[in-house]
Amino acid sequence: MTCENPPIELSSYLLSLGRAVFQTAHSLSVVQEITALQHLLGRAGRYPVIHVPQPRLVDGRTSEIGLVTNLCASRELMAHALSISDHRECARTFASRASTGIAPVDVGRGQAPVQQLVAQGGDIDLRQLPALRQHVFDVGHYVTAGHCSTIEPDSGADNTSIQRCWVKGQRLLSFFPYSGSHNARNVEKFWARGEPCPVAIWIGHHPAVVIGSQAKLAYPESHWSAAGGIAGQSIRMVPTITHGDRLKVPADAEIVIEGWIPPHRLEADGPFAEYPGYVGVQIATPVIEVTCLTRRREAILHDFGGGLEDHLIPENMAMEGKVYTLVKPVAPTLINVHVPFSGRRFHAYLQFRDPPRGEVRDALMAALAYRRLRTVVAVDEDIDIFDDRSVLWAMSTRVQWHRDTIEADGLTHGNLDPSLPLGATTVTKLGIDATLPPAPAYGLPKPVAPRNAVSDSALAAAAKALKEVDMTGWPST
Amino acid sequence: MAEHMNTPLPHWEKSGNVMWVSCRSCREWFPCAAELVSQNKIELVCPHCAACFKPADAADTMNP
Ligand SMILES: [Zn+2]
Repeated sequence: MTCENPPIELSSYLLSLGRAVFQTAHSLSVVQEITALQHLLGRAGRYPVIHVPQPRLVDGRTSEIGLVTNLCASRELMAHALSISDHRECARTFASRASTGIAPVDVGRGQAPVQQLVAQGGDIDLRQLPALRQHVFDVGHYVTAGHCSTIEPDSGADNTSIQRCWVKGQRLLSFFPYSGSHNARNVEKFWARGEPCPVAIWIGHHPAVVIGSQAKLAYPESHWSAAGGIAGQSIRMVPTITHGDRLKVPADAEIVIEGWIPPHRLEADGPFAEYPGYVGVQIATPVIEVTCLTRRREAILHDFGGGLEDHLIPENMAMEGKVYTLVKPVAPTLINVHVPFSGRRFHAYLQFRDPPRGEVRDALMAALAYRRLRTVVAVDEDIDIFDDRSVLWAMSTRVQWHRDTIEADGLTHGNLDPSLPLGATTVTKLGIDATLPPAPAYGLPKPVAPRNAVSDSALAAAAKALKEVDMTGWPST
Repeated sequence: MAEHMNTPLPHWEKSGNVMWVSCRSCREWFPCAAELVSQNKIELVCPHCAACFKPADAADTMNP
């Protein structure tokens, strides 16, 4: 596919979803109420996209700009957005699409919906955005689904990554790139020259572009080709008003905030409820002095519910592709990867088909090299890696801890690990081989007791007996 | 400022990693990076009442 297809964007995607979108009839406050809705739905195991057309601002007025959240909370919906028939196919699909890529195309301002309205200087007021104050302890209202784009000054390569931004004033945002992240490195390079770092934050797009732009790449390396590959079409890019051709943004985004990150200016940021499910403490971060805000006439602000499925699922699905890419070359019997929400971004499950001796341990070593992962569990094909109970069953019945674990100290780690000792800069990681021993020869059974089972015909008969039975009121646990 | 100093622990005992600060204005507690408090360069912002104050002026602090 090329850009001759209609450009993908958020609003038409929402229209295509039908009943998978919950449009709230009630007026909900930007202070915790919309996030509380995500919590309640998650507890009920329901993950519709939530569209709040008229969020209530802090001063009681209704926002001119609508809000969408839970856009990425469902693996099924994310797979649908990516034209993948089954969310469990994500790892292989991501690995393949990100490596092939589709180059972006440039368009002029006249073809860029995100630049239909332009505010500059004193006409900007970020406080008019329905940015949420999501959780208890959050220090303020945050742009949570802002894809912050910066430039590597030597090569000119751009980088884009989701970073939380606290709306600190009319034209001031905080900016929190994790230490060592590509955006953090870009900022440091500009600061080393005594220069401000150009930045543009694009918000709101078709979820295929949201997830595609999170492909894990080398440094410095622009994300737009990989994003196009994952989305299945070229991403349309437009020069920013402030930085011109030097820094471009997706033309079909909803909102763009442009500005500069002034050298060595650090201010308090947070607390903010973060992805591990705990509050990220107050820290010092750079700020963004905003020069320009552009948007669609009917713009929608995209929000990620901090620490909820909505926040983790897209990144975890992108991680599955990267882990698959890392492990497959050393372990050809790898067939799938899942980065489960239950483990936040710290756990991965690897699934194998008849691995020969040694290969699973090679695979564990390769996967543990992925910075964010702390625990990697390897299982056989009969284990459902998308069901935590199934993985736990394998761990409880196929592992001797002295024999089947690999512990490695002094490895890099993701930020915001709540268990990390104060001052630690590296972590201990654990690989668990929960596979069965190999069969002595091809075609023979594995040398362990078989698992309990009923026949397919018995299952079919049971399913027939249950057909159209009203199960209301039956205990579920 | 009250003293809740770290005691070195043997490696098999759990330890925390977050400092808590009691707001100079409203005295409510909030979690804060330890280096932000020890450096005392940047004004903290209370998430409860939005008061800004230097770490040295906190009503109280609690070390991990
Ligand atoms: Zn206070």
